[in-house]
Amino acid sequence: MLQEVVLREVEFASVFDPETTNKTGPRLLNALMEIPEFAEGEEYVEKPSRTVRSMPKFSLRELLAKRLPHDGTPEFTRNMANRMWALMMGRGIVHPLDMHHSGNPPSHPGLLTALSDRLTSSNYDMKSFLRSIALSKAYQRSSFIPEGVPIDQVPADSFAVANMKGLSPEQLFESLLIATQASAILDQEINAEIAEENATVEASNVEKSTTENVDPEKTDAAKIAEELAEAIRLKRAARVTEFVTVFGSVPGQPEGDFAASLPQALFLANSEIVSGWIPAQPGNLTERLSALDGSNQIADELFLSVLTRLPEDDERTLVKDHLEAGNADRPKAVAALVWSLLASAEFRLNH
Amino acid sequence: MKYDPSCNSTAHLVSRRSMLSNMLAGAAGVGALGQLVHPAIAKEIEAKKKQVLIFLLNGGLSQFESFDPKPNTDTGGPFRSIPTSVPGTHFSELMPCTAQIADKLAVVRSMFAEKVPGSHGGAREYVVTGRPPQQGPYPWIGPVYSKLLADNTELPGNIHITPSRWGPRQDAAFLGPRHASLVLSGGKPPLNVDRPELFDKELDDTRYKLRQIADLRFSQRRRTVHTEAYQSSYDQAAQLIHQKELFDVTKESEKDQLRYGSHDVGRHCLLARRLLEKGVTCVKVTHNNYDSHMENFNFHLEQLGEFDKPFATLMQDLDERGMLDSTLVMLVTEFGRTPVIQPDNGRDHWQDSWSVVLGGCGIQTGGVLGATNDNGTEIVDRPVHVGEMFHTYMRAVGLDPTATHLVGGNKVPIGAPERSAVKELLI
Repeated sequence: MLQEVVLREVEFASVFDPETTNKTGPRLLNALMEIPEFAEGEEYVEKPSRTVRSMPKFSLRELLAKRLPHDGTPEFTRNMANRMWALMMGRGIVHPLDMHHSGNPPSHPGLLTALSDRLTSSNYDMKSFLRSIALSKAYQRSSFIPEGVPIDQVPADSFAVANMKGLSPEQLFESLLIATQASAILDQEINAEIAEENATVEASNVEKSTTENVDPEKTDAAKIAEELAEAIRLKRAARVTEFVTVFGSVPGQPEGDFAASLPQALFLANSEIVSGWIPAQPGNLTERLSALDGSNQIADELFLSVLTRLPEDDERTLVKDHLEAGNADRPKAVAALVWSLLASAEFRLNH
Repeated sequence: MKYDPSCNSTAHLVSRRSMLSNMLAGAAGVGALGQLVHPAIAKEIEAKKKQVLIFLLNGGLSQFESFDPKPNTDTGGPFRSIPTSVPGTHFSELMPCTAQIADKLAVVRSMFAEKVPGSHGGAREYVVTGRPPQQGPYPWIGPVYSKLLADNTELPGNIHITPSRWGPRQDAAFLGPRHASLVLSGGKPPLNVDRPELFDKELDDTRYKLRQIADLRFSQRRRTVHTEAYQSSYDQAAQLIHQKELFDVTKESEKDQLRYGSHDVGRHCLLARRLLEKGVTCVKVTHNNYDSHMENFNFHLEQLGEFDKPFATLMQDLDERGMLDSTLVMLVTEFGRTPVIQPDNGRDHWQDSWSVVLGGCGIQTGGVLGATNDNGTEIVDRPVHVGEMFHTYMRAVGLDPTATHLVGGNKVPIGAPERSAVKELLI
């Protein structure tokens, strides 16, 4: 339980000026107030304990809570509406995000007001808010510019044509895993790592067990299963973190407009983690495709698996030509095709 | 924005590219690239583009043990000062080689900044962005050069050589990852530069081609800004994979490797020279372990003992190759160290006065700007704020720091608008 503890002022001295002592204590930003001091032991209505939530006689946390945004804080609501819109639409009505000021007016002021009102009136029901955006015509538009329409007539802030947005690092990780059908490979790899670590631990435990008693709780089967699940979760999370490090935006900042960098391209092309999923292995996409007969069958299955659409005729021809040229080693030729689509803009961008 | 428009012409790119490939072809046969890149080529680079070399001494270099010695005072510490190639200017005896090239440097002894949150990280950000970190994130200076001087080059515009493992950072802030530092951790090639075993060279080329065909198709009748950025990142990757020896310092002559030294900072300085010669716009070399809260004197003896020679050697080499005219060199550190010598012979952080050194392109060298008092406790002449230096770094290579970056339709001043360049330092 998070407990509020009464903090008192403390004395300190600067290392540059050890002669002078100063006092500092808890305070709220820009708050002008006097914090009443209570005698030691008299500070609480309810003292902190393991089971009871503490209640100081003078609660700074309560004062802070009153200053947090609530439904009477329109700026908060507008920013939240704008951020959620950007999450769905790839661009804010106020853009760049968070930059609400007179020099950066919203592209559609009425829309932003309507969205903010909707958030307040629905008591910040995020699910229904996002559903409304998803059901809008604006969201459902294609990123195709209609035939005969010049590009400058459909600027990004018009939302007349869908703005493409990059997959988030987490989305990219999961999408690559699903497209390459490599989940089983990843599970095996993680399980092997855990087994190896356990073997090392057990080896050292054997040495110890002569002198120490084994904790009876540790032998509980449910506990072991729980620990295993947690170990798997952490190993998987570490791999997602690799993606976040390379593809994520600055910590604490909203994901900005799509941008591509050299380390990202090198990561998708050559990193151990991504390259591990592509070569033909039992059950993965490359293996499954390599076992198919005709090049048309391979092309259909490839495009459905990676891009969730069927190939056009010219794409079928391209696959055929490529496979014929690389006849000697079918799985390798297929692997190159698989990678080319995984690394394509069509896969990387939500369009 | 004021800079040579010819820098971005296709003719220039093509000729520089063919020049590079000629150089590479030549190097394969001779194995001594250093001798091949000589005044003629160096001149060509000079005529066409400005380059920048940044030394970042991490932790906080002591001004007393380097460029602003105060021997025989209560704050001066045990080291003597020695004369330099500039009559009347003295450096600490820990920098004997640098002292000999003092005429190629401009020393600022009166740097200062307000205290900012974040200790080393915050102070460093202040130095390399010219903005207090709490206003940020602003792009670091390397990404700024990459954006303004190397936006269309195929080589990475901004390379960071660092001794320790240093993962990718988003130091480009709103300029985007295109301009973020390409990091060579431990002076090794970038991560993931080797193609996987699965693809031999031919198939590797093929998969990039297939990828490009897919993208061309996809971008028809769509806005192309995203797809172009995406394509360009793969162009850079493909280019880099074929140029891995760009990062291979052992391709330099044995003699040069000896001259620079076999320790990290020696090898990294030689690598920096190699990258600059190959046309990389901005190269940053970091050297660590200057945060000497204890044993300040031993630490500086060791660190500067490593750094002094390769730094001076690199300055000399750039000068001999005619590259200093077009290459701005800066030696910066996040802050200085306290005049008061602490128990355990340490010096703590000190943002009231420290030293920064410039050289090369656009810089008035051979002098000292600003001064501290007799025992270095305060600035007595020409205080220079870190924000002013950022403007100076821009002006030196012909960029206008009062111009703006365009960020999503908004204009953001390149340098802090309340500051301006230090005219005394500029030619």
